[in-house]
Amino acid sequence: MIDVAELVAGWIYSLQIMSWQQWVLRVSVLASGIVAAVMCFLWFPVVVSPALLATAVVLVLASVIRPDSLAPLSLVGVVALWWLSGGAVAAGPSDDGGSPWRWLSMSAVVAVFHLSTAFAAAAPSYARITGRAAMLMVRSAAGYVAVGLVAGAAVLGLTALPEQVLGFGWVAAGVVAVSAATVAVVAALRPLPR
Amino acid sequence: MHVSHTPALLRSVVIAAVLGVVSIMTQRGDVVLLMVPFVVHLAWGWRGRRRGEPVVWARPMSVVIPEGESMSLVTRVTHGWGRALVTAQWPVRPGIGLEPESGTVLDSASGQGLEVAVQPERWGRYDVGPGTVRVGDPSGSWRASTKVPEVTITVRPASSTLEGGSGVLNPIGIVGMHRSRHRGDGSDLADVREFRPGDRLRRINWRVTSRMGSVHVNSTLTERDTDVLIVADTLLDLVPASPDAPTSLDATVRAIAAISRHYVGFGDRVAIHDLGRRIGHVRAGTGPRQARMVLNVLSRANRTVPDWDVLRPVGSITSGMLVFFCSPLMERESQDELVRLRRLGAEVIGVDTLPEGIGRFEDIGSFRSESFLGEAWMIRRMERDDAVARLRSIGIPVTPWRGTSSLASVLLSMEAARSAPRRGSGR
Repeated sequence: MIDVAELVAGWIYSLQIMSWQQWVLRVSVLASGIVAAVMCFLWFPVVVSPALLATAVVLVLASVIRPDSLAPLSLVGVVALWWLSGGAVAAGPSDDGGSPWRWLSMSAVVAVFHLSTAFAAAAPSYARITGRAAMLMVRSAAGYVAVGLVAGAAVLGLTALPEQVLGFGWVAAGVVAVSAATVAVVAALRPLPR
Repeated sequence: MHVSHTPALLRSVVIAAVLGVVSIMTQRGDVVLLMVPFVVHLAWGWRGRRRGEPVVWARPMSVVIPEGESMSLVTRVTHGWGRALVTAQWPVRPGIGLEPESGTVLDSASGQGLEVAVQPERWGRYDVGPGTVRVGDPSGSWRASTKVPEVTITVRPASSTLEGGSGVLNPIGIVGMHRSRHRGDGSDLADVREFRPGDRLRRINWRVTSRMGSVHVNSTLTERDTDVLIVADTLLDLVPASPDAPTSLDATVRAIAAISRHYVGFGDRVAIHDLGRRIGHVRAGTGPRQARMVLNVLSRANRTVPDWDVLRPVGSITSGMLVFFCSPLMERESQDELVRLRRLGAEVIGVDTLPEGIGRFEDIGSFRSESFLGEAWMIRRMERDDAVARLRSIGIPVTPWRGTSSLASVLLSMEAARSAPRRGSGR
């Protein structure tokens, strides 16, 4: 019990000594996380939506306090679960003209959450972030979201093709690409020989 | 400096892999769309994968600055990434102000390096660090961390010149700037007397000669230097309740810096004797080099030495030597040493370095209410003040150190005593 109290006290203290530049990053984490959760709640309704929303809010708050913890991964997991369960019953792109834009905007919000969490974890909460570093972050984030949107639009374009034209091949191609990237990164995680 | 992955890259790997498998199993395109940001991030991270290990260095490693000034710790990083986010973190410690206050800066790596301003609050020697430097690529996928060695900052105490004269009664050297009582070559007029064989012709006072009818010359007083010994009582370092207030060691160091600079300026030989262990001794010397040496020794004074109860007495004293005894005068041994120096024939001036607030009635509130430490300090201060009054009664001037004007009245009164009429001897 004492450990929990110390943990919470440590979190509160880290918020107290946070620099305003880190506050901006953490607000970005908070906003993108909450928006993602609310969008899921509105667009992908399932029976357990209120419980998922509560869980997501807690994980967003945990991500704000500890962006280098497992909380951001868990939040994305909750969003993915919501997407799978709610998105399955939602109308597809061909049935509802609004759905592709919902998917794309959800993808962009998740991208913002993912990268702002990565930037917030790059330095301690009390670090002063210089203007040059902030500019580099903004440019990087803008490029990342833009590339993500273009890639998402390409995926949407593929899904809009008639099934007999592309068939299941696009899924297989995507999976192969992802598998290759995963294998490459896992290989990269191994320490280099000295 | 080992490069490793970040939680963000791990997140991208896990989510991309899981969603990839799910998209195959469920054959759903929308799942691929959710997977896209993480795949893009993976590709970005792959592009910046381990391009050489970063090398970090900080400058300066050792620096000497005057009291009151600040200096910049610059950390530079060379790395294989085109751009990088660098975090320099210097630990915060008492007695040192950092800008930014947390001592931690996140900047993009550039040729200028990361600057953290350091301003020591007082004189002394400070070890800042070791610092920590973290380098990350712009995608937040890779990071490396290393330690930067400690930086030593030596702060010389501020040394303002004393106000007032020299206070030298009997210069004991050969040549210098203090007027002596000995007649010879000098600039101060002592007497006009009849010409004697050996007198210089340029000393002839022609007005008196024409009036008196016989040749008269100006007789002058010689100008000499003297020996100045500064005795530092560092047996105790008395710390006031307020952490920002100067301690007795602060006052002692500042007094020594000002006195030594004052007398080195006169061309006198200045030496330091430490009764304790915090400052150390300085041999007698003259000139700017001696002034620098004194400041260097003072800046290396060690605050962390525990209080010491064995006094190291002053060895030899020349009669007429000018002695400044910088002490809080709390210990009986210090008071006895002060009297002993006077009895050995030195011209002794006591410089009281006890902080103002210690032992005062107002100071009682700074102690815990259930203890009687405040009252004990009051009694101890009363005993000390009584001892100081007795020192004054036997002719030893004791003046509290309150800045460069503290000794002005004492020095002026000593100068006045030199020129006062004296009773002739042997009458």
